[in-house]
Amino acid sequence: MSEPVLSIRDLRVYFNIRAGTVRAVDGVDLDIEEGEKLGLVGESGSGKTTTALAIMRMIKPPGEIAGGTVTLDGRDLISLTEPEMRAVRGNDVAMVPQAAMNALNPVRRIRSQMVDGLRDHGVNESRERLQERLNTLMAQVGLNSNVLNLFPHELSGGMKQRVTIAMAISHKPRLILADEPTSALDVVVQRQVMETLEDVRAEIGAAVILVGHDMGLMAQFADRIGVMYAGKLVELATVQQIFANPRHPYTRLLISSLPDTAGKRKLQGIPGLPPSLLAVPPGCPFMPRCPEAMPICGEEIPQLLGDPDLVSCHLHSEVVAA
Amino acid sequence: MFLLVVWLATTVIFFLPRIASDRNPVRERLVMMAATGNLATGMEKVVEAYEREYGLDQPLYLQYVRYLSSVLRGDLNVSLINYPTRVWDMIKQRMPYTLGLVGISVLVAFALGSLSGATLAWPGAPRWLKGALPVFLTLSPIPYFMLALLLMFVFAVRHQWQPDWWPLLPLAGATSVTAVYDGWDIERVLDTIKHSILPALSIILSQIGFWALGMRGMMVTTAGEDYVTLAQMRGLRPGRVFGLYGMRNATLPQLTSLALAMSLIFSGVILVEVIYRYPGMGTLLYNAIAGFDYFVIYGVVLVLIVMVAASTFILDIAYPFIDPRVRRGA
Repeated sequence: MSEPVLSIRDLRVYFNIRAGTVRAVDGVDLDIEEGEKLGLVGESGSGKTTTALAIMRMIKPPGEIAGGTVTLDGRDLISLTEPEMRAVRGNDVAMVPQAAMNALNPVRRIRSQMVDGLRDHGVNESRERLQERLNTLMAQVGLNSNVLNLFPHELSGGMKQRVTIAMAISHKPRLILADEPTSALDVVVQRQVMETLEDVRAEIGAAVILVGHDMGLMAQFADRIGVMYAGKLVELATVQQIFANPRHPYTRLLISSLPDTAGKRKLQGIPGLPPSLLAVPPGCPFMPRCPEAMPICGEEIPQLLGDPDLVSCHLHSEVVAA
Repeated sequence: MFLLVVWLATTVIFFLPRIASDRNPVRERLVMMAATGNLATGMEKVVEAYEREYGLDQPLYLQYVRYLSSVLRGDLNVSLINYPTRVWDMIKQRMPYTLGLVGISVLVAFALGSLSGATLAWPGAPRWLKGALPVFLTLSPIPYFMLALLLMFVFAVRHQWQPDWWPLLPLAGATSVTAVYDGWDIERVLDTIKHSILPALSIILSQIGFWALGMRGMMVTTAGEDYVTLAQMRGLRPGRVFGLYGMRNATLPQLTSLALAMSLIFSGVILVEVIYRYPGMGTLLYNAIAGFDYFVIYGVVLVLIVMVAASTFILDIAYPFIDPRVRRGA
């Protein structure tokens, strides 16, 4: 395999609050290949968004990146100075935000906001060239150029999200982070926006990390899916593998909790709550809720093992080792 | 709306001093003149003549109608004490001083306060600024006139504890007593500025904390907005995010507060002017109240009300231009 675009090793993001240290992301390893679409799923607080923010180095106090490396195209982002990192943001790694409703500055026209990004990444062109560039970007995300003259409150939710996608691709980034980009949209628009995202992604050949908890959306969009639980990656496999043969009990429960439109199965949840990240019990963090827990699960943290599909569960550690 | 405010205020101002007291300014004036030997005989007759001329002998409601109609014609009548100076001429002469003082001190206080408040809410605020805020907050509940007296004591009066280099600023007035000017040459301008420093400072110092506190609160909210976060994630320059994405939005409610605070600012300025004997409309009003010069009181208050209402009105009209969301039919 070729050199991955993004390589995360032992990433740890801690929030130091009065009650103690919250280990929001605790030792995540992840490789993303060129042009790959990776879905990152997990319930609220599992660390999926925090992982995305950490890649951008946008963790705000009291949070901090406590350790690990994030390597983008062979360059360690964690060791960059803040001005160097600023040049990377939006240029090499771009973000398509959650809740596009408020993601645009309400008092400035779309054009000015898009030009801000171009200018601050060193694009110094004539008015005409700039306009041409903006027209192309708008066309790429399926918007009329007139939208450039409007204010955010004059756009629909879907249009706003398209604008944020246009912003994200302005510099042909290597990696796009999409944090639940469609959670505020209705399903029809959701599908259109996702198709747009996929189209422009394919056009510029960027890799995408799609963060979310909509398993259906993930199945349609992603190549591989990473399942996060309590700040750790518990399973990482191809979409086919995850849905056909989920190995981690949490993944299994996650998939069986999806509504079944064909049968008459009752909608099921996963009983219990994820552990407090302030004091994660020893052993496997999922053990208290796991239907298949074994004595060893309370003592030893399972390692993320396997090739190429990874899982961290004692049920599978022997199989993999053998 | 604007006109309604002005009319209501005019009406209240007309009746208030007349109901509150039955002093007769003309008579008082004449008594004083008589006491100094300028006018000895036929006082009653003169009073009557005056009263007839200004309609002061008529019922109050008729006086009101008469006054209102003259105001509508743009006539503010004549001062009773400084007869026959027209009230409008007295105001005209003093208006530039008041407008200058209010304008400069409000702009400086608003700009400095908002800027420092915004900086304080942003990560990486300089330490000296963090130390300055409590000082300004301590100053802000002190009334303008107290602050004016304090500044006067420290900067306009020579004390034992002051070192030699201590700057002494003028105690009162708008120009030096000894200076005689005709026309506005550079020397007079400089002299006037020098005389305005302390009055302006009394207003600025007590206002900065107010604006800084308001701005800090707004900026903290704005800093947490999604569009600020996205601007940062798009790798925009910190200065641009701070100014065009942060302050630009946080200033909007500040401008509303400014519009609402205009009347307070004006009333503060009036007191400050009196303390520094600054020849603005505040001093004029103070003297008019002391001498019970109705028409001057009415005139000054009316012009002040128009000024406050106009500044509020201007901010109101300007608002849609700075916030596109309140633009109609956009």
